[in-house]
Amino acid sequence: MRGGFAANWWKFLGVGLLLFAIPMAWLGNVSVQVILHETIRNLYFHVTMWFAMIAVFAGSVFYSIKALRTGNRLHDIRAEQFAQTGMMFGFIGITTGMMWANYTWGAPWVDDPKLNGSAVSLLIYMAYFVLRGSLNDPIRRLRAAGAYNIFAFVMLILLIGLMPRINDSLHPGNGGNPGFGGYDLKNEMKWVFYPSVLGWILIGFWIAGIKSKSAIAKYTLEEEITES
Amino acid sequence: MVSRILYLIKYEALLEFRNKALTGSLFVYVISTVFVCYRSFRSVENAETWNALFWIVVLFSSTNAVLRSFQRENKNQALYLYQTLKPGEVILSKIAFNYILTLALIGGTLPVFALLLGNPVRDIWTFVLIAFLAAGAFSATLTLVSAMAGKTGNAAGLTPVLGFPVILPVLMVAIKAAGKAAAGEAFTAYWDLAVVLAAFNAVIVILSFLLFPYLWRD
Repeated sequence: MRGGFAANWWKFLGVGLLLFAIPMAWLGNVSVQVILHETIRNLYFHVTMWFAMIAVFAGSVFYSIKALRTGNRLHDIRAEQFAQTGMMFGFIGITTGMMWANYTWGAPWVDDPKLNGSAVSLLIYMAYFVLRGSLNDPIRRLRAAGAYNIFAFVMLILLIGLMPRINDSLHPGNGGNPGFGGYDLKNEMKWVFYPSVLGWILIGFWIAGIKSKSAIAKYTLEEEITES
Repeated sequence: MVSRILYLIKYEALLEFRNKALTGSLFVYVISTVFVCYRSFRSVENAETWNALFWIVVLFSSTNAVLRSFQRENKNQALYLYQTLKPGEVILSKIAFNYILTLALIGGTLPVFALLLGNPVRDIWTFVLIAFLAAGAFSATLTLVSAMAGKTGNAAGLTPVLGFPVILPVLMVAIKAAGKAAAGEAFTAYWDLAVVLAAFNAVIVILSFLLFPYLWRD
């Protein structure tokens, strides 16, 4: 790690938060409710994946904006790596959600605005990778993929914000279901949930940062080989 | 700027109607799609199904119409436009022209639909209002996305892949609002959906205006 503790403290914070949050997710007190019972612990594992996904996608959009403004290819590589990391969180989020839904709703996939929103977000980023894959010229790829990333992310945020207001969700805390409301959730659960969210976001940025460094190293190596 | 955009819309129309067979193909596309629906479903009793089918046909036919917006000019014409115009003027005029084209397609689809599959729409004027709003969001999104897809040289293949997931929120709001109009509910009960559609239009047009300059340079 370059830069010592001053530049990397957030990685330690991320690990520390999760070292606290993961054992507490299994062992801590939870508010046991009808149907949900102990599966409410999935809150710590499943819901946090979505927060991490959106945060890492936002990081990808940040680098896309930078790439468009400066024309720097390294930012474009970072945007791609952040999007890949976000996809990983998205797939884990879908898998943990389907496992949970299988036991509480009786089916792994049901018609629910949040499920559809998550499916669409994965579709959008698959389309993003298809677009990147079909452009060979790096400058064109930077511009087209960068513009699509920004456009799609804004539409995704609108979708996520809007969908639950159009259709009631089956998710806990939505449409009159118990769950995340003020008095449904024990206060001590928040003390595990919020650190867990922050921890996974930090870990997500760490993973994406390592992936970016590796991709940039590969890119510069290839550049040097073609130049020599 | 407005007069230049108006001029560009006229120019787009000129290029489009120069090849009347291509323009005609859009309407034949609509008629044959609706006919396929008609022969597959025979008759649609359920207003909800009718509505969903209608919007899917509109989405596909407007994709088909917008696809060509960046292929009308040849390379030299595009280079000339690039030197003389601002990117904002180009994208706004293309969106405006595609909007008119999409409206014309909706205007063509609705009677064919009503003729073959029946017309369950009770509140036709609100339905038309929703169609006007949805057509704007469709054409603006697809115009921007087809500019991106055009970079790959495979616009026809990539525009739906890139555009459909992005357009889904618009489609869902439009289907919901149009369904209520079809059922004849009072507009006061769902006017907020129309406002949401209008807001989508504004967001998409502003984003196109901001992002197109990067796609335009080549």
